[in-house]
Order: sequence, then structure tokens, then C-alpha cells
Amino acid sequence: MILTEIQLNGVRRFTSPIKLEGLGPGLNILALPNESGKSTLLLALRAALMWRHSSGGEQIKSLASYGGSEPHIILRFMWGSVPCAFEKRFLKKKGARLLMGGEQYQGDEAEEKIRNLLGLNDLINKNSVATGLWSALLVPQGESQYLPELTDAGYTSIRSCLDQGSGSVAPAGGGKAALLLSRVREKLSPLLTEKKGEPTGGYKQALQKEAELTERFEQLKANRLRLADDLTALERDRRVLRDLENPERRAEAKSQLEQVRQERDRVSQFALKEKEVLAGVRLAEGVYESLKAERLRRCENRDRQKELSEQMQSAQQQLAQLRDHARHAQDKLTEAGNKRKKAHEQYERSDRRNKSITRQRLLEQDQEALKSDRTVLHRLEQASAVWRQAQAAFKACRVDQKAVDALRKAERNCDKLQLQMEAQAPSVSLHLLPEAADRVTVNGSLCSESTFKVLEQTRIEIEGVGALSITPALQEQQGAQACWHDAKKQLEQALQKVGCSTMAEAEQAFDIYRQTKAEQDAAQRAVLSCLPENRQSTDQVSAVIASYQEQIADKEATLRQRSAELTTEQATLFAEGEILQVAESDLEVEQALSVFREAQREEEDKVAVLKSIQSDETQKAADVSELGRALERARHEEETAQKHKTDAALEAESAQAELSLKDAQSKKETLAQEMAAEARSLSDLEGDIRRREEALSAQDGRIRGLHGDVRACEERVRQAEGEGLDEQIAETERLIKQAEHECRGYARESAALTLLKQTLEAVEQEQTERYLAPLVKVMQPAFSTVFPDMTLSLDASFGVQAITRRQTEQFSDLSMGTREQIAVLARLGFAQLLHQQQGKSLLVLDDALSFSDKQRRERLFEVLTDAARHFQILILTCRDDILSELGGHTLHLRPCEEMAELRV
Amino acid sequence: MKFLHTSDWQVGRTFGFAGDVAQGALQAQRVEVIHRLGLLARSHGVHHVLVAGDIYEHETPARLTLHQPLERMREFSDIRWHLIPGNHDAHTPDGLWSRLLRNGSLPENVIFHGKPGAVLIDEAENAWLLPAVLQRRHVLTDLSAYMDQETTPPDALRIGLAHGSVTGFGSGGEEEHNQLAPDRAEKAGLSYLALGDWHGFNEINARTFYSGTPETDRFDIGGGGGGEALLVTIAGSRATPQVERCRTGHHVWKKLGEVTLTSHEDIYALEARVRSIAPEHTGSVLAWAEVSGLLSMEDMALYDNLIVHSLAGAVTCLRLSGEPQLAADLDDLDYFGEAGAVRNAAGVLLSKVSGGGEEGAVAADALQRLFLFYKDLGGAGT
Repeated sequence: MILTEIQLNGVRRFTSPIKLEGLGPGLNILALPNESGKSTLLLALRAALMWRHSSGGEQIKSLASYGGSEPHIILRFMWGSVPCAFEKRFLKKKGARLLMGGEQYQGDEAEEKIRNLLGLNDLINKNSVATGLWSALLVPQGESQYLPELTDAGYTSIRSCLDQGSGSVAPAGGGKAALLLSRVREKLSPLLTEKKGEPTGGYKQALQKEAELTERFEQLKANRLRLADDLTALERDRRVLRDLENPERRAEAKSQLEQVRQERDRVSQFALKEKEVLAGVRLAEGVYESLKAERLRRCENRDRQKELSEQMQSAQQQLAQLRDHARHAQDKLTEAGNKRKKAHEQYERSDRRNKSITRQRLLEQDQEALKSDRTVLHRLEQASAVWRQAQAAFKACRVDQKAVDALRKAERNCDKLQLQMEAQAPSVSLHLLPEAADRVTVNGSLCSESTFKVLEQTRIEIEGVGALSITPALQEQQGAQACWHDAKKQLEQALQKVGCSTMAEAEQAFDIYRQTKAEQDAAQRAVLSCLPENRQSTDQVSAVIASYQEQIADKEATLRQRSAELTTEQATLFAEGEILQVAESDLEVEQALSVFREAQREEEDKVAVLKSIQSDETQKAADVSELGRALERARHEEETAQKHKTDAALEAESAQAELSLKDAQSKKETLAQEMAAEARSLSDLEGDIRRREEALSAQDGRIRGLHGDVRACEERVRQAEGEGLDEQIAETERLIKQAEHECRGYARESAALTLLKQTLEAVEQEQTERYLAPLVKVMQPAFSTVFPDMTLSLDASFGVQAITRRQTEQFSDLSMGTREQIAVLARLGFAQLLHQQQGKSLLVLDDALSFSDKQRRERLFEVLTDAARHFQILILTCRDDILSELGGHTLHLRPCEEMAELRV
Repeated sequence: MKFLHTSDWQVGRTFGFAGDVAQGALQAQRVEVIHRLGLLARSHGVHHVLVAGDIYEHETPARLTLHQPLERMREFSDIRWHLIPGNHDAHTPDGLWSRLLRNGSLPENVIFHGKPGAVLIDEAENAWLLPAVLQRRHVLTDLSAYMDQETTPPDALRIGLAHGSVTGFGSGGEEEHNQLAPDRAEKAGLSYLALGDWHGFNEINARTFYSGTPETDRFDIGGGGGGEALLVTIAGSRATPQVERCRTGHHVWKKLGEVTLTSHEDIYALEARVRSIAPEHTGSVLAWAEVSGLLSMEDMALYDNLIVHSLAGAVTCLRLSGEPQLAADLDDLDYFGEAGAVRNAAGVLLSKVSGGGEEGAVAADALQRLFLFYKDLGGAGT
């Protein structure tokens, strides 16, 4: 089927006739701005093909134009090679007419014919709208991004195609399986949520109820336990209360308290009496002890006096002895003192002698030193004289290093010029026979050379032969000779300057110069060696010599004085002719010192002995004095006591006090016996009374507390007993069992239904995949072009369930653009299937691919272009750029004056 | 003298196995039976009803539960109801009896005996009641022992009323407590000893009886099975009492024991058995069957329909322990057609059933449901 023209009038915005031109096989594109009537055009096409002309429903009415004219549509198409025209009118002028080649059909006959052609037979629903697969191929604006929602007619149409195909077997019982699956899902949906499979509805409520009941049960049990505790406590408290409030027991307690109090009073009387008796005893004891002490004191005083007298006598005797000892010790001390003085004098003389000898030794040493100084001075003076002589000789030398160097230079210059001159002069070679050697003379000298230069006129005389005079060509040698003569003259002048006549003499003078210089240096070193280190300069020689001379003079004067003094001293200390060596003197001094120190120690011993005796004497004297005073005090004390109370009176009072004490002690023992007869002490009794009073008070407090506890407990029990806890617990337990049973039932039902659902789904999916394989095969190439490496999965309702690229993605999870591309490809697949199986197909897309990016759109256009080689495709779009991207036939929507007459 | 002997009303009892409706019905009958006891007494000209303990199930019943039996007894002002506590409602300090006495809730015709000691209950008959009073749930002494020494006027009709065990019935440690001497009636010179605690009628000796509960409350009662009260007639203090068992119970409790189902015939037989328990009033029946066996898919559907749904609705309570297992093989799969998705799904499930275990059990359920749904959809024929 190839549409070639569409005319319409009275359809919505088109209130006047309009015609779509340019239609042809393959791809057709109508690009118009929005609100230009593209969707109306598609609506008219769907109405013409799928809506019965006789229908008058709301859908048909909505087709009418806004201007009120009634819908009128004419389609022209080629059916194979047969040209066809199909006209349709709706509402009042309703009618249908089909011209097919030479045949013409009117009204319902035309409708049936067109349905037969398009495969829409028996697919008319109650709204008289033919549906089937065509509704999925004529895609209105806004639907292209959704997968086609097929009606039963659509499914039948596809199944019909598939059944006609490669012999794939439709799933036997597939419909029933779907219904069963639907039933299972219907049964399962109130139990488990679809997404997560979690309990819902009654199942969830049952679980919640079970949990609530369990919680309530635990709460009730806790309340029951509290009630039981309260009842136990109540019973216990009441029992205790009864016991505490027992009047007999309380009266007995009070009576016991009274008894203890009486006992306490009785014991407290004893205590007073005991105090009195004890006071009497203490008084009697005091008096008795006082008198007894006085007696004892008197006895002791007398004994003391006697003892002191004896001690006094003994001390006085010892004192006299000590005084004798002191006198004797004083004599010994005086003797030792004299001895020490003598030894000291001897020591001092020896010491002076020793020092004198020492001074003499020092004088002798100083004299030796003076001699050494003189020697140094003498050596310095001699060195100085030698140095001055050497210095004078050196100054007298005229040929020094500089002079000899100049002379040598002048000599070399002279020699050089001579050689130059000789080189220019003619040479004469004489070869003489040995016997002629002393017969030939040159310029008067024997000829010793065989060859010589002739520098001037030369006369060669040969004995026995004659003379030969040679005159050189002087004009040729004049320059060289002049130079040589000048040089020679300069040499001679230089020699004269230094007082020499020849160069050998000059060299000799230079040798003398060098020798004199060496001597001068040696003399200078000798002088310097005699100078002190801090004055190492030849300039200081005279000053040093003067200084040395002055020092030596001073020392000589001092030594003369010391020598005179020493001579005088020694005259007193030494006998005439006595000569004592230093060692002997030292020994003498040491011996004298030793004797002196011995005498000194002896004297100190004597002093110590004397001091000790004197100290003992002083101490003893003090003792005697102290004993005297003590004896005096004792005697005075006795006299005073006797004056106060005589011994007889004291004895009488003591006897009386002893009797009083015995009486008081007797009373104390009697009282103690009486008190011992009592069972408890006063403090025990006081403690007992306090405890009993506190116990009674505590008991009253506890009774009050227990009354409060009992009241509170009773109140709780009254409140709890009204709740019927036991009954509630039993009932809750029953409800829990019931809820558990219910939950188990739900769980079992859910598990069974879930398994059934999964099993049915798995089986159906497997069979559906097998059945849908041809459809997938048709669709897959187009899908692979747009989505490389993608595998397609269709569900049982021919919808795209999922695509698998790197992983399986559900259709609903894909992006809007991808979903639109897949939806368009699915519709294209249906169209291809329809074309392959029935040779008729058409795909119209209105404003599709609006969500696709350029790359995908281009791929999709490739697919559409390829598909358009087999069946006609119409693209209605508002985008001009698609025209250039797609190519194909460009369509135009043009107004026409009137609807053309129906003809083929 | 004539009196009615009853015990173990246990008002407020909860039945763990019962659903809400059955629970309500069973509890209601435990109260309504008091009314029937009153009518029974009145019909026999009896003025004294002796209740041998366990009037209440719980120590702390709800207010409504506490007052319901009292109000039923109040309706019969011409009858004096003599009550003693039992082990379920012992007369403890601050217990339910103290609560009722403290609040003055006991009707005049209801006499609660809270202390042991002879009480003159019928002057004309010189009838003295000697109650044994439980003040703890359990006691180790024989509370009826005092009756031996308790004096009453000469030729007095001495009637003992006690709650406890004389024959060691009950379970576990219960029998160690609340012991009563079986020859107490003889030792204490009692004309009759009315006992409670045993829920089925039991005659200990010519003068000692358990009346049992007037409304059965469990499947394993023992003795006479419960649902009765005793009409006692005593001609004189030395005369042997005449005891007549009177039916008072409403519900019929029946334990069917183990029921093995292997075919639809077994299922129908089970239904017939339950319906025959009380053909005239199936609605009063409580039945307990321990079901097992193997059923085909169709029979499973029948079991579900006939037993689990229909029969359960016919009785007060149908307690089913266990259930039949699905027995299916490859032949059974033909029901789903020779091929196709459903048949394949059934095959998958059947293989899992064969695997057994927990997954097998779930698969059996799933297969059963597949069968039912398939059948609902018209089976293979549609």
C-alpha cells in the first residue's frame, strides 16, 4: 500500500479543503511549523482507515471542524499496481466509497473491503473503531516515546503474523498460563508487596498484631508479677504489723523498760555513796601518807647529816694533801724553766753562727759571679774590637760584587769586539818544520802558533831567512778596531776606578773583598753572641759595654761592704782560727734546737702537772665548801621541823591516821560487796534504757510506715485486681496462638503463591521467548544499528521488556530518549513484520524522536531509510533540519478550492 | 433432704485452640450453665446447691467475669448457693473472695464459706455443712481432717464440702497437693462428702462423689466426661445418699483421635463421623481430629472444601491437628493437558515436591493452588 494523496476538509482546524502532495514510495517527510495541522492530518488518516463512517460517538464528533463543516477525507493509494481511492464522510453526510481499479464499493461494503485489505476484519470494537496493529503504526504526537499499548486485536494481529511465519508454535495453554499468573498475582498482591516482597495487607496486620499481642502479653505478665509481689508484700507487712501492734507485747516492753529504769535508780544511789566512801578513803590515805612521808623525811635528814660530816672530814684531808703536791710541782716547774732558757740561748748562738757561715757562702758566690761578669765584659770588648777592625778592612775593599760584575761585563764586551775584529782580519797560517820552531818570530816573539790573525802590520822574521812584513787592509777593519779600542778603553777606565790595572788584579781584589766580608760577618756574630738576648744589635754594643762596666763597679762596692761586715761578725762568733763548715754548722743548730725543744716539753709537762693539782685543789676546796653548806641546811631543816612538830607528836598523829585509813577502806569494801551484788552497771542500765526507748520509738515509726505501705499496696492491689490480669493473660495467650497460627497461614500461602508465580513466570518466559523469536529476529537488526552490541528481550505482550548491553536494563529504567528510540524501533518492527507476512504496511510518525540526540537520530534515520525501501513511511515533523538529514520525498500541504471528485 | 452437688464452673476459662467465635460461645455457656443448674434445682424442689470449689478459673478475673455467675445465682432467690474456694480461686488474703466480701458483692442467697467449721444450713433438716477451705492454691495438709473432730448436734445431717484430690488424678505435681482422705466421710461421720476438682463425674465411695464440671471444658476429661450435676437425696443421717446424675452441659466435646485420609471416601467418612456426634445439634459439637494421609490434587481440593471450610462452619469448633499431604505423580499432571506452560509449571513443581523437605512442602502447596486455580478457570477443557 502506497499512499499517493490525502485530501481533507471539515476536519478540526481545516475548515476548507486541503491536500497533501508529493507522497510516494519510501520515505516521505512533511516539515511544517507547529500548529500547521500535521497532527490533524494524521488524525484524519486514522479516522479514514479505522473509524466507521456510520459511527456517531464523541470521538467522531470531536473530529468535526471548528467552523462547523463535516469531516470529509479522501485517500488515494496504490494497492500493488492497482490505483485506489477511498472517500469517507462522517456525521450528517456520512458515507464511504472505495474505488479500486475498475471496482467501486459503497458504504459498509467499502468499509469491509478496506478492512479486509488492511487486515482489520473482526477487529471492530464496541466504539466502531477498528484497532488492531495499525493503531500502533499510525503514531500520534506524544506517543512515540511509549511502547505501543496493544489491544487484543493487536495481539491477535501479531500472533497471526507469527503463526504465518516460520512455523513457530504458539505456546499451548499460554493464555491460560497468563490467566493463572494473573490470578496468582491477584492472590499474592494482598499478601506481599510487588517490589520487595514484604508482607502487606492482612499478612502485615497479622504480624503487627502478633507483635502487639506479644508485647501486651509481656506487659501483662509483668503487671501480674508486680501484683503477686504486692500481695506477698501486703501479707508480710500485715503480719509484721499485727506482730508490732500486739498490745500484750507492747505492754510487756513498757513494763520491762520501767523495771530497768528502777534498777537504774537503785544503782545510781550506790554510785553517790561510792563517791563519798572513795573520797573518805582518799582523804585518810592522804593524811596517813603525809605523816608517813614526814617521818621518813626526818630519818633521811639525820642520815644525811651524818653522811655529810664524814664526807666533810675526808675532803678536808684530801685538800691538805693536794696543797703539798702543788708546792712540789711548782719547784719542779721552776727548774724546768731555767733549763729551757739555757737551751734556748745555746740554740740562738748556734743559729747565728750558722747564718754567718751561710752569708759568707753567699758572699763568695757573688764574688764568683762578679768574676764571670768581668769575663763576659772582656770577651765583648775583644769581639767588639775585632769586629771594628774587620769592618774597617771591609770598608777598604773597592772591588765588590757590583764592581766585579761591571768589569766582567766590560771584559766580555771587549773580548767580543776583539773576536769580531779578528774575524774580519786576515789570517796567516804557518806550517813550520819542527827544527824551524825556534827560528821564526812574529812581531819579535817566537811563533807558537801555526795560524794567527793579522790585525796590524806584522813582522815575521825567520832566522836565517829574513823578515816578512804583513800589512793588513786597515781601512776594512777600522770600524771594528775603533769599537774594540773603545771597549778596551772603558775596561781600563773601570779598572782604574777600582784601583786595578788588569782584570786579574781586579779578580784578586774581589777575592779579598769576599774574604774580608766573611771575617766581618764572623766578628759581628761573635759580638752578638756576647750581647744579652734582649739587646741583639751591634748598635747596642757600646751601650751594653758601658752598662756592664757600671754593674760590675756597683757589685764590687757592695761585695766589699758585705765582706767587711762579715769579718766583724765572725770575729765575735768564732774563735780565732776556727773554721766551721756549713754541714757542721747545720748539725750544731739542729742539736741545739733538739735540746731546746726537749727542755720546752719538760717545762710544759711540769706546768700541766701543776695545773692539774691546782684544779683538784680548787675542786676539793669547792666540795668542802658545798658539804659545809649542805650540812648546815640539813641541820637547819631538822631544827625547823622539830620546832613545828616534835618527833613524839608526829608518831602519835601517824598512829591516828593509820586507824582512820583502815576504817575508810573497810567502808569501801563493804560498799563494793553491796554493788557487786547488783547484775549490771549504771552505764549498762542507761544503755539498756536508751535502747529500749529507741526500739519503742522505732517500732512506732515502723508501724506508721507499714500502715502507709499497706495502704499503698492495697490501693495497687485493688486497682490491679479490677483489671482481671489472669484472665487477660490467658486471653492474650490465646490471641497470640491465634495470631501465630494466622501468620503461619499467611507465610505458607505467600510462600506457595510466590513459588507458583515464579514457576509460572519462568515457564511462560521460556515459552514466550521461543514464540517471539521471529519477531525478535525482525526487530534485532534495527535495534543493533541504533544500539550496537545490544540484545533485545520481549515480554509475552510483545513489549520490550529489557535490553542487554553490558548488563540487563529494564525498559522502565532507561532514559526518556532511549525509551523513545526503542518505542519507535518496536513500532517499526511491527510494521516490518506486517509487511513481511502480509505484504502491507505503513508507518506514520508524528513529531517523533524529539528526545533523541543527533548521533542516535542519525542512526535511527538510517534504519528508517532502509525500512522505507520495503514499505512507505511518513514522517511529520516541525523541524526543517530533518529534511536535509533524512532526504526522501518532501511533502507539501496545500489548500485546494474544493475536494476533488473521487476517481482513480 | 435434697440438694444439688456441682463444682468446677471455672468461669472465665480461656480455650487456647479456639477461635474468637468458639471462645465466645464456650465462655458464654460456662455462665449459662448456672442458669440451667438453678432451673434443675428448682424443678426438683431443691433449695441448696453445693458448689465444691473452682467457681472461677482465675485468681484475678475481670469485673464482668467476677459478677456474671453471682448475678446468675441471684436470679434464684429461693435457692441458697453454698460456695467454697478451690485451687483456681483460693481464699487468699486480698484474693477474689476477699474482694467480693469487702465490696458486699455477694447476693443474699449466695453463702461463701471462707472458714472451716460446721454451719447449719437447714434447720428443719438439721443439716450441717462442713466446708474445707483452701486458703492457698496448694496445701500439703488434708483440709477435711478437721471434720473428724468437728461436733454437730446429735442426729445432725453432716455434709462435707471440699476441693481436692483423693485418687491421685490430674497431672504432674498437682496430685501432691490438696490431698483428701478417701475415707473422710466414714471417719468424720459424714452423710455425704461433695467434692470438686475432678471435671468428670466420679464416685469414690457410697458417700463420696465428684460431680464434675456442669459444662465440659476439655477433650480429655476422664470420669463421666463432664456436663453433669448430681442430685443428692439423703433420707437420714445414717442413710446412704441417693445420687442422680443430671445432664447440664450444652457443648459436646469429642476427640476423634488419629484420622488417616487417603481417598475421597475417607474424607466423606470423616465428615459423617463429625456430623454424627450430635446429629440433632451439630452446632454444639467440638471435635478434634489428628489428620494425616496422602491425597490426590482433586481429593485435596475436596478436603479443603468439605472439611476445612464446610464442616468447620457446621460445628462450634473443628480442631484439626496435622493435615493430609499432596500425593501427585506424572499422571496427575495430565489434568493440565499434554503440554503447555501450565503443564510445564506443574511439572517443575512436582519435581520439587519429590525433592521433599521444606521446599517440597512449599511446592506441594503451590501445586495444590495451581490445581485449584486451574480448576476455577475451567480446567483443560476451556
